[in-house]
Amino acid sequence: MTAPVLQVENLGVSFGVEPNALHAVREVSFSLSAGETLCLVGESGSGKSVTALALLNLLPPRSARISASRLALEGRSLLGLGERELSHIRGKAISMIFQDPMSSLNPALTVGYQLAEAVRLHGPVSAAAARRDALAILDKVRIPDAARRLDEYPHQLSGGMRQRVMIAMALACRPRVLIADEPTTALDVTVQAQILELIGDLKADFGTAVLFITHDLGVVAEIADRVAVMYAGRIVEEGEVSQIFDDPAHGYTHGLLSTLAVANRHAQRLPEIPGSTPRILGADMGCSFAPRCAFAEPQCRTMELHMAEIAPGHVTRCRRAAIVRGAKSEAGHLAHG
Amino acid sequence: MLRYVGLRLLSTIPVLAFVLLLAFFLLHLAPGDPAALIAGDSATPAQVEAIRAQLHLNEPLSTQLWIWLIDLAHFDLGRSVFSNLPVTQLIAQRFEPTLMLAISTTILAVLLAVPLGVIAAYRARTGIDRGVIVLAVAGYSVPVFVIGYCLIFVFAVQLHWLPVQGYKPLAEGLGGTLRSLVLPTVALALLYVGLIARVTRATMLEVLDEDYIRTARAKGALTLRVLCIHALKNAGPPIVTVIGIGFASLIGGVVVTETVFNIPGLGRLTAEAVLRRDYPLVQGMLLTFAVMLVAINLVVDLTYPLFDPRIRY
Amino acid sequence: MALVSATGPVDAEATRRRLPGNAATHVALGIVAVYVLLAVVSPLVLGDYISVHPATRLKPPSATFWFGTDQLGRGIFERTLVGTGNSLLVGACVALLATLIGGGIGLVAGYFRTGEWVIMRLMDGLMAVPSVLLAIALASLLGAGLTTVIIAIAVPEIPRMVRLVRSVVLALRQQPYVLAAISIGTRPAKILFRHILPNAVGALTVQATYVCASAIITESILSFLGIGSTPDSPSWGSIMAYGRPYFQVSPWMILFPGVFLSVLVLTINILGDGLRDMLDPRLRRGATL
Repeated sequence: MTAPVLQVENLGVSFGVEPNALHAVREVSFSLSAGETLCLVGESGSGKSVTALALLNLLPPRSARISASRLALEGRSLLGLGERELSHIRGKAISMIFQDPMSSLNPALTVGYQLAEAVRLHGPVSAAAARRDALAILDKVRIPDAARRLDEYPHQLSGGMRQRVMIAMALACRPRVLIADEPTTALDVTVQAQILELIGDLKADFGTAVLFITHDLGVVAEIADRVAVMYAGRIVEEGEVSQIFDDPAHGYTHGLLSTLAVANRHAQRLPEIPGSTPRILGADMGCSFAPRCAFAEPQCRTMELHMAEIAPGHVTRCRRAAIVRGAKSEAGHLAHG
Repeated sequence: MLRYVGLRLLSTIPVLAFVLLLAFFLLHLAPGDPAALIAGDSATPAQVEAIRAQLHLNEPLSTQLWIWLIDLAHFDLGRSVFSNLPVTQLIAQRFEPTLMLAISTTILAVLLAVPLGVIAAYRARTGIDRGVIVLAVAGYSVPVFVIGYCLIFVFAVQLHWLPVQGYKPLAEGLGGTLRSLVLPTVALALLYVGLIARVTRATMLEVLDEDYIRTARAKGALTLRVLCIHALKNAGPPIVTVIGIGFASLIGGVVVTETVFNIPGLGRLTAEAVLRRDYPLVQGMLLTFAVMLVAINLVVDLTYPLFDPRIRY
Repeated sequence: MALVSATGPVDAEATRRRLPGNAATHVALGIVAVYVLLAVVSPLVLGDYISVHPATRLKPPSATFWFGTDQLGRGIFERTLVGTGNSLLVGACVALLATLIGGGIGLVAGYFRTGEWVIMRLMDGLMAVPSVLLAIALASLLGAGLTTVIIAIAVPEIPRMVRLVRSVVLALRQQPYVLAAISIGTRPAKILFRHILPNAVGALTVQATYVCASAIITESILSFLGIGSTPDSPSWGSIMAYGRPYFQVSPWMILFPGVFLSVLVLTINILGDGLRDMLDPRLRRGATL
């Protein structure tokens, strides 16, 4: 394995003031190597998007507090960087694409302007050169008739096209890391597949590391090298994609995969784990998932949690990992196969 | 585009028709004999009769309206009862100072209000924000003549920096005109600043919450660029709308400002006409201002596509 | 998204604590109460503010004449305080009149949709005439007097009220509980008074507050221009109008009534903002940037 491009240790994000502060992200650690795709999976409210936004400090500055023991890009710490220094990282070394390509593109500016801006923000490039670059990237993301698109506005493009433009914008400066925050959720299924393929191809071309955030296990199965499962602000299990799907070692992961199996069998009914995501106020002991967990015993709610390695590269916070792994899960095979 | 302008012009017809009728019937709303009302208490019966003849008040109402409309179609608004000059000529003579005052006030107000509103939204819920809000409310709460006299007292009477009152026409040089416009412009602009800054702030608050603002920051754009290019352009339509709406208050303010600063413009002319019960002139002023207001709001409508390409005509 | 659901309640709580609304609204209410008290008490306790004293004309503020005297030797302090009643009366009456008439027309246009097109075009027409201008024209034609002034100021305020009430009614009319009431055959009058009016009261109150503030300014403009005021009961605008020729030597004639007027209007506008924040929680929000 190569040296990690992005290293995150003990990332925490809280909103508001103690004692009422809301801890949206806690003790999140992961690292990302060049050319690797890490999927961050979880229900809405689990802290996936907040984690992504925290990496580039894009959270509302006056309400969000970000802490970490280490946050480094290619060995260089991003902690404590000012707005100006961070702006050189944003869009150049680390880019982001967002969930809804309609609302994420500026409706009042042309596609060409927004693309050229991404180029010109990070280097002394003439307007004409930036426009040529913009055109080249549009071709790269396979937008037909790219020259005409440059002078169009986002509302004149289809949803899939808009997401292609977002991707083009994010890749304009050949970033080391691409953070994709549910980039296919708002698109329909056929377009979704094309966009996933595009991200995969571009990753191969540029050697970009991808942090892919999604709640869709089908997408995970398709693109992930490794998977980190988030629940209530924490990463509860992390491992190779095959480890997670074939050998889940956390009650929550197991539950997620079972719902997928159910969904595959009875496509009409939306699958869900009974109960809802807890609100995370203050420090708590024990496993946040315990109240909803099929494997939980009383101690799960009170005993302190640690990340434990159960196989090379496969870690879990679950006390009952052995029992969970013992339970037969057909879901992994279904999703993977 | 042309089609839209055409339709939009058509839609002003009911409005203008109503204003025409209002202007025409205004005199007849008043209790008593209109001719006597115009002539005043000290008029002789002969004078009253002369006015009655001049305004065709002996004719049936429908005939009066017809004559008035026919004249209007020939750009004839009648003659002033007081000076016996054509109303159109009086209005033309007094147009320049008011136009200059309106232009300078709008420019100053926009230049002050938009940055204030943007800063307030960017620093929402801080002291800066609250300061801007208070300033905005104060702007349209303090009557223009109170501000006007305070300005005159400080900058003209005490410091002698600027002329106390009056207006220097453009023909005598731009410098003099601008000097004579400084104080009235500031007095009149504060009202406008309040309105525009408030709307700018509210709109920017909404725009800054949008996803594309986050995208711009994620691309590496710095605050100033995000605010001025990505946010402000999207906040355009409500801001120009309030500039159009505020123009009505501006006209009301002009009447007072020109009186305070002794500027011989349309506002003064209106105040004089009303005080002298110079009815044809009052009619003419009502029509002139209403047409100006309708025209401004038409122009405002036509600027929307500049800010939002989704709007097409 | 996680961010929104996670920050919601905390933000709302922080907002409640940080918003100046409540404190400022209470202060504003207090100031308005003081003005009302002044309006009621000062004509009773203050000395003569009408008769002329040539010996003491244009005196600057002093221990005897707190706010100085006017060109006829009358005390500006007395006249300003007594003028409070005039402004408040005009403000309140105009707000009431515009709300009743405008609200009534708006209800009918919005609920029954009878003659809606004609009504709304009439309102557009009225709004095409700058309100101060229309008030001036009406006041001059209807002749001097308090009633005249109130009517002249109220008429231009009506269209905005009609538009507001109509839009509120149109929105409420689509609410499930109103549709339900209609579908079970509830009488229109009952629907209007039971369901629609109570829900429109908030917006009406806020708008009425703003109308009150704007009416007080317009009244002062009218009497400043010498239209519609009667010489006996002093009004702030007319005190200032008398001060016009003397303002370079006797600025107090304009300063004191001007300050009283500005503070009152500012207070009422702040009160309106406070009411709006209380009655319209949608406007409580902050930027994320």
